Amino acid sequence: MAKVNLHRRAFLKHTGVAGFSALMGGSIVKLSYAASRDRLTALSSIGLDTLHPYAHSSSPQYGLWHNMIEPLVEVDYNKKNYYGILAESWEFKGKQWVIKLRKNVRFHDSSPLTAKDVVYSINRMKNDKESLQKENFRDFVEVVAADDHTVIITTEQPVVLMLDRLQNRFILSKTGMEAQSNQPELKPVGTGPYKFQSWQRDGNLVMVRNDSYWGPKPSIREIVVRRVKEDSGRVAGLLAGQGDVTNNVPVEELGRFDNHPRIRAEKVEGVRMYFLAMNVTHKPFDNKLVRQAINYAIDPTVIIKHIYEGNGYIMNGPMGSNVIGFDPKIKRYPLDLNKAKDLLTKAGFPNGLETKLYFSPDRYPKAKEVCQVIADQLAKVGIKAELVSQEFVIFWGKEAVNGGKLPFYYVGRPAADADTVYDQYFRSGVSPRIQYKNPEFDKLVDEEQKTVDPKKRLAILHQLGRILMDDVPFCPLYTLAEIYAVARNVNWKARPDEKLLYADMKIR
Amino acid sequence: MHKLIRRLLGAVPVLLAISFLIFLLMHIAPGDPVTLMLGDNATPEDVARLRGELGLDKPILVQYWDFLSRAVRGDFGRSLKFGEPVLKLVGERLPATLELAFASLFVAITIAVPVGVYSAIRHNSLVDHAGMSVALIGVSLPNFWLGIMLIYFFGGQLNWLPVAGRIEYGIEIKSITGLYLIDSLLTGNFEALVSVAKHLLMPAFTLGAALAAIVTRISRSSVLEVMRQDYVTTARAKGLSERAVIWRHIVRNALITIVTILGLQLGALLSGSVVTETVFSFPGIGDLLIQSISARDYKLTQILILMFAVTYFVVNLLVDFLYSWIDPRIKF
Repeated sequence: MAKVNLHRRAFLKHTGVAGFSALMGGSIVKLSYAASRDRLTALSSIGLDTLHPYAHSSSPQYGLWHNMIEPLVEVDYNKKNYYGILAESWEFKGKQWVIKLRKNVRFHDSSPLTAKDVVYSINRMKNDKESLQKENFRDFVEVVAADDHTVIITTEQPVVLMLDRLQNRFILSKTGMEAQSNQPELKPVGTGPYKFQSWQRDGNLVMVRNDSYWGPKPSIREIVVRRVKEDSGRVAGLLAGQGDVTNNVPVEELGRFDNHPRIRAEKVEGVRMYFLAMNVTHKPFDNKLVRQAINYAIDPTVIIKHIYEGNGYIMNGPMGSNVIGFDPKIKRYPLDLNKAKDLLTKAGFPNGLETKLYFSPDRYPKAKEVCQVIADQLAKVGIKAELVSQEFVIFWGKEAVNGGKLPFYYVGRPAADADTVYDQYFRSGVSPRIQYKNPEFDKLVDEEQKTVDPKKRLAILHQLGRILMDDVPFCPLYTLAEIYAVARNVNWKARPDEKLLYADMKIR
Repeated sequence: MHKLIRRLLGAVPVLLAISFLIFLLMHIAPGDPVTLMLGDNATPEDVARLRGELGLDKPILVQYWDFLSRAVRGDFGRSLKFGEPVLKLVGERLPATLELAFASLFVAITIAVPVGVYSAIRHNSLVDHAGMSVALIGVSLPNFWLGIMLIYFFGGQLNWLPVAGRIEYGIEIKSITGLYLIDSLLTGNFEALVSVAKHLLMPAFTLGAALAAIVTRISRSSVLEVMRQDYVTTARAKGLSERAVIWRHIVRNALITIVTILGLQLGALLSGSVVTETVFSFPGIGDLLIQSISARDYKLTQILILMFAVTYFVVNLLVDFLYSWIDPRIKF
């Protein structure tokens, strides 16, 4: 046998190179998977905070849950109406809502969906110590199961917006949860197209297809949602083949998908409406002429074009075009700097005025750049706006927006129904965010909230929009595109409400 | 042993003072966790009700007393953001951060000490200048930028390494110590070992780069200083081989300074982990700290910062032990 001279340095060099190659080689083979009927990997900017489906109240988390645990109703953003998921039909009877449940629906533990499950889930949301969704049930008197498939909700006052309140309220299996001593964090049992498989906090959420799903069978067997917080990390991972879909793609990254062989961009108008809020208890925003002047001075098209690279949709009135209550006839104030200056002079500010514009850069994309442009536009009519940046937890706190302490701020608010914004931001005494007071407006909101006929209700919502556009305690700006990037072999249309529903995805 | 107990007892008032300071600072800092938790639809009444339920409407001193009296019974409360006991959350995350810190330390030591020592021995040579230039770049690079660049090239362009996480999905690992590298070695799970190493490489290099740069420069200057000592001349004069002079007389004496710097920098590694873990979505306590501060999750932030303080204390204690091991003339 030939003698081999093995030198120490040569040995270390060769084993080092071999080890590194094994590591790298393994990576290339292992990581280059693509979306298939077996598995889809999502690189998501958010993950579940907790396995308790009621211990949060944030839209992106609702989106994750919706795959496993379903609500009674959901919004159809195209038709601007609600459609039933677990509910088959519903009837509004003054202080009562009668909801008929879909039959032949089974939970993941094979138990059938009955009215008792709905009663159980609503009571959990209303009374569970950990629930952060209690405010949706504040005026509920009782929820009862009239029969196996009929639920009656009784409220203190007629609540016309019950469907809006129920759209993200997910129904758990009573028997499934009682079997786990009512601890949803062990294994939430729902009716969704996907079943919960495993979860690590800030790691992977894994869901597998529910083969007994009552609706159309999902095309993909397993979904792995990996939390990747960093924008550039998600995009890099997706382009490299480490994932098949990602959300919250920054506009400056969009060009990278133009001619990419594997990935395409997917965009849809979002439901978050951006506007400048003016708290009318603070000077000079108590003066309607100043508010109107600001509306004449602001041109959001510049912001959409240059900051969001065209990925925005101008708002002509108080509501975005996806929202129930949107009025296509309302037009925004045209850009008219002379008119703005005249109004300021009439308001007693012939030499302009000084104010502060507050914003939160960690909540709204490119808020700082947007507010710089707005300050520049305001300066052209003599309004000197000093920019004040605040961390969102401060901005949203009781010493700022939610204490009515900020006179002028940049904010975004998602909504499915115009009433939720009108009620919360503009109705007297509801929240201190704007403190607008208009008895006529309040009376109409009261009337709208009791109106059962959708057409009549829509007419009132339009009327409310017109009042607001005259008084303008705000300046409407735009809605932005929800931008996703997805593998080209996945057939899928994004939803406006930030929800990634994997059952909608089909592999080509 | 007596001295060790004395050091441990001495830490108690320091930790108490730190806990009070954090508590005070967190509560007087602006920002409201409750409005954030309840989302867009909450009314002022809902906010007030939840503040009451969470005990956040009590005076700060009463809240601190509540915290202390529960803490001595081992109950550090529940996280506002995650709704789970804070100790459970820390327990889930701490091994990841420790593993990252040790891996970064390993990266730093294996690069920095040989380069520093070699640069000193070949003082003013091309290798010395090159080594010091690279060290200067290493110190100057912000680690978030370095992390993003690594993700871009090694994750996005070359697809050699995963851009986020700690282990690939689908690979099971039996947890013994919570340190995945160790666990995969102990259980002989080669697939897990490779996956964990792949996930650890970029974050460890990102975190270790600045430390490596500092340690390279310190090692070099420390070795240069020792080389000028009389006992080194004596060692050479008595005919010892150059290798023995370098390793037994120069490097060993220079190690005291290097270990001191490493001890101090391990604390910096932990604080650096806050940024690195966020960039790589690495599920450690640094990432958790960012989330808890953004949500004004008082109890979780409190325990996490206390953890950092305790780690500093323990590392300093270890460094003191190491001194007497390296140089027996030093008594602990």
